[in-house]
Amino acid sequence: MTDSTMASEIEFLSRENAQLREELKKANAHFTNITEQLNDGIWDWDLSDNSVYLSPRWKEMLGYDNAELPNAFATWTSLIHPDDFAYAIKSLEDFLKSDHTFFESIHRLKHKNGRWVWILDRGVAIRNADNKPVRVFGAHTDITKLRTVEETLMQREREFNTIVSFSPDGIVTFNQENVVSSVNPAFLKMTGFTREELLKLDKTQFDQKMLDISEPTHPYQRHLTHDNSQLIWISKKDLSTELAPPHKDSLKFNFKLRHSNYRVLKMTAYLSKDASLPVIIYFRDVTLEVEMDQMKNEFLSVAAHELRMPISSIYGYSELLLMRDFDEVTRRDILQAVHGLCNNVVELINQLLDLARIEAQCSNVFEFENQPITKLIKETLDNFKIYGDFRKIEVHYFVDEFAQIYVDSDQLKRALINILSNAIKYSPNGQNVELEIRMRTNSNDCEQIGIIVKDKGIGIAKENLEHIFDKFWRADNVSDIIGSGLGMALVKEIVDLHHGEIDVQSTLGKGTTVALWFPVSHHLEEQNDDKN
Amino acid sequence: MTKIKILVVDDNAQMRNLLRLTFSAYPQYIFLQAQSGQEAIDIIKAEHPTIIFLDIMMPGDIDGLDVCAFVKSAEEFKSSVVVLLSAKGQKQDIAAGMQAGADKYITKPFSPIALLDVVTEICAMQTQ
Repeated sequence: MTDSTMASEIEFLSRENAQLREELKKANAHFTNITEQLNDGIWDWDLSDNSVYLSPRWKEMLGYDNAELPNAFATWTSLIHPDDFAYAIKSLEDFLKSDHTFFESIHRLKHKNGRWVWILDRGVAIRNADNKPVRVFGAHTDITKLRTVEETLMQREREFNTIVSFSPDGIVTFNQENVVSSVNPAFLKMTGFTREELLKLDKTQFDQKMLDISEPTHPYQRHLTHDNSQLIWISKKDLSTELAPPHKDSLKFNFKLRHSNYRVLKMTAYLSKDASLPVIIYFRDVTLEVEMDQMKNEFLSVAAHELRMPISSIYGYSELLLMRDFDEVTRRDILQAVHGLCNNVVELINQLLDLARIEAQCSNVFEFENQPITKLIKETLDNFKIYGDFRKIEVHYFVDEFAQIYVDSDQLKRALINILSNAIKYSPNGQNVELEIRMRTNSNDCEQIGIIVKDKGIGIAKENLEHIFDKFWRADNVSDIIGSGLGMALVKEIVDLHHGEIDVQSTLGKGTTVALWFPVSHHLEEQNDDKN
Repeated sequence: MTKIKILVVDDNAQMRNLLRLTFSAYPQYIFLQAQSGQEAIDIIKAEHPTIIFLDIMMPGDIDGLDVCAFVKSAEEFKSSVVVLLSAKGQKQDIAAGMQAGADKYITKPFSPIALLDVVTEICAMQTQ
């Protein structure tokens, strides 16, 4: 070979070398470009000499510059989360021992700033003829965001499940195939069904189940009204569990739940326009609301009737007075009757308003304070007068004159006036009425002051005693004694308001004793302190 | 002149008194009164009144509708004219009254003078 050929050969080779270098550079740039685009960190482990390459992106992912972390196997192991360490190492070892080509593991690596980065690690092994790995390389993907989203989702699902299972409302969901996918405990309690018998039912079968338990008088409707809701009446005898007692405060009224062998559920279906969302049906127990509504309507109709009665007589009497000439005595009698009836109407309206006010229980309406009982009794008696009646009320005090009770004095006086006027009204025989004030300790060891009114009047039949607090109820032996039937209902509300008790003892034809017991001052103050 | 027996059944004393006053100016009417369903039936059996004014809501086991049904189901009292006088004025109340066999249903408050016309009318029909 001549020098010149040698030189040209060298030149060629060096040109080729430069070209190769250039291509390698290009390929490298291309590779870097791809990995950068992929956003993945690359690692490469040559098992023949145990050398490791970690790409700058691999390090950057953990907050380090390329120079800050050595390209070594230990770099990786030193950064693994202690909880994930054993798992990560073992899955790599298992992979190396196996004959698999692909490897995958998820673990946390420590970021420079101390937080943990979730890494999806995927690798490929090149194996020799004996299936021994000679080189393993792969990529790290940062899946922290994904994991966070996943964890948030799981947390949300846990919250959602808690809400659904603790909801007082029944909730039933249907999946896209219109099959029951979930029922919550409240729904099972309301209907008496078990979860097993409902899950996997299709909508038609579910409807049939609901129809079976609903009252024939108010059958379950398969097709809902325009607002997607309906009321369902369920007979309580079908229910294995008892109606949860309504909240105590919602039963301030002295009403009895008369129709409570039914449970009324308000069903509302939530149908989304988005077909991928499940159909959700809510069931709310509205038994109490429905009953209250019925009782309110009954009360209104009875109240209207009771008001119309005296007004009918006033209307008729006044028409007769206008149209016909009566002698002076008859004319006076009629006017006397009209006057009495007007009083009756006024009394009725006042008592209705008092009752409504007390039942509304607006705390700002009442003014509770400590008052000496003797003073309250004296003030009440001073203003107590029944038109045309001159009977004196005998008062006997069995308490010292400073004994105090914690009361709204207006309400207490109203209650006392009611029982005093009853005692006089229902003693048409002219017998005197006695009033006693005494102390007692009741069965709960609570000291009470009693206001006891005794009459020797017509009395109340034994079987009627349980009705005396019913609104508008009047005994059948009251004949022509005017009354609204609201007085004792009002007295009961007032005593309840003061956490007191009422005792009524009566013998037909012999007389009645009504005792109102109010807690002695200090007890009530303590009770109120507890509440505050 | 034949006297006409009118029975007023009402638990309310003022209402009975009002009706007594209304008819008191006319000697051809004999005024009878009862304050309960049971008392009404006793008087009907004893007196065979021509016209019965009946309140519906009364204390006790027998209400106005029961008395009405009793009158209209018994051959010997059937010819008595029953006028229900009630504060209940809803359609279904009136329907229930007619169902029980009442001849007329008047709601309270009512005009006593108009009531007299009703009685005159009934008497005219009876004599036909």
